[in-house]
Amino acid sequence: MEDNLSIPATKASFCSSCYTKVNEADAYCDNCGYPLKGTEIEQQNFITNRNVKEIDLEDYNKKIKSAGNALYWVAIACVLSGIILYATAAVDAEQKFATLITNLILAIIFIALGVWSRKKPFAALVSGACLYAIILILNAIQNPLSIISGIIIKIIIIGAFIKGIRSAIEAEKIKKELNID
Amino acid sequence: MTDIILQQDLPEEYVCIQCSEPIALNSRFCKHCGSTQKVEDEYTISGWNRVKQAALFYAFDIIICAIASFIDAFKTLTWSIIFDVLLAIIAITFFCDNWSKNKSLLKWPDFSFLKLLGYGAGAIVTSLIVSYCVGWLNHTIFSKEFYYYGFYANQKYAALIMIFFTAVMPALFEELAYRGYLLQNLLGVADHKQAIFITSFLFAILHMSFLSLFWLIPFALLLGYIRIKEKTLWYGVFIHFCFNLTVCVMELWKYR
Repeated sequence: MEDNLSIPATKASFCSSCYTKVNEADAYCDNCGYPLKGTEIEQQNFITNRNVKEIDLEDYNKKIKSAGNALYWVAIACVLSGIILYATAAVDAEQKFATLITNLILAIIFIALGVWSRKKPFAALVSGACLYAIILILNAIQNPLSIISGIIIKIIIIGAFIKGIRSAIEAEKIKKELNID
Repeated sequence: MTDIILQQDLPEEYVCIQCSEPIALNSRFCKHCGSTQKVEDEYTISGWNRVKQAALFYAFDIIICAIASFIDAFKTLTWSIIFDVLLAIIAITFFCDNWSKNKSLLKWPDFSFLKLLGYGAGAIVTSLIVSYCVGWLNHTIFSKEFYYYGFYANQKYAALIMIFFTAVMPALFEELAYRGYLLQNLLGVADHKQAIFITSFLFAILHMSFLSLFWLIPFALLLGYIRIKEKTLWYGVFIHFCFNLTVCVMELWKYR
């Protein structure tokens, strides 16, 4: 017992920047690099930098959210085009029905990815963007003119996906740095 | 007493890469000098650049597969061979782009014959079940039969050509492309689960068939998981080969 007492017991406290447990003897937080023993100015600078990153993170989260919404919009477009084709296309009933079912399944997949994008944005957005790209390419093969129809909306949706995926990567990086889960 | 317990609980100590003072495992920063403990090598290729490269790779694959499966003029044996070779070249090119990192996947660290046999048997059983279900669904819902053999039937060594192009080539190059290049690439951007899911989903939708989506995604998830667990491509290649070979053999036996 005596021997153990002679070693100064390292008291645990919390980092005032990222709130992980640190030892009082440490000069820096080993999770976020906060200068625990630094001067007031050093500490303030660190906190300011951290705040800037938090603002960036908010911005990225907005972009991720709108990309997630784009997935819902695509789902709605699938349902609508399925119904319109079912009502108007001049093909036999069986083929019409198959198109409708295909569109509904696609819509379900996009909705599922949209819901999932709130939790795991990177995987959901990459998957959704690729599925959307395949649909566009297959439509273009069947009818090359389909590329032009609604091209502005398509560009907006693709843009939202690309920004969302990029933001998801950056947000993940910042979250790791700031120790936010 | 409490102090003794505390000391035993202390994590294994590592040293700072800057000041060589002891630090705890998994520290992001040194607690003595404040320098970051990131290994620089990991960040030489940024996440976004990895995604862009993967997108280029996938775009090539989508276009080739879409042309091969939806334009009637290309539905000949010659063209299908050309497309298969193109896909193989793309897979090899992208895999070798980061050769120094990817080459370890081609090693087979702890080869186990029993494990290989187990995986192979599992693949054959799954293949039988899946092709029975898909055949039944195709027959009842779409009232049509689909088989690969018709494609090759009037060739001289039809059976051999068919086995080569539906069992050997896809097993080797799809694994190289998806479980090899793509999965390894995405692991630098996302965690294991997300990377496995993305590769599986992309692999499944590339086949451009609704019915196969339902068994391809679980199949690919399993392959991805095995590739991560075993740290080698070869088990995946073998499972994929057994799976496709079973389908081939069943068709040869049925239609010959």
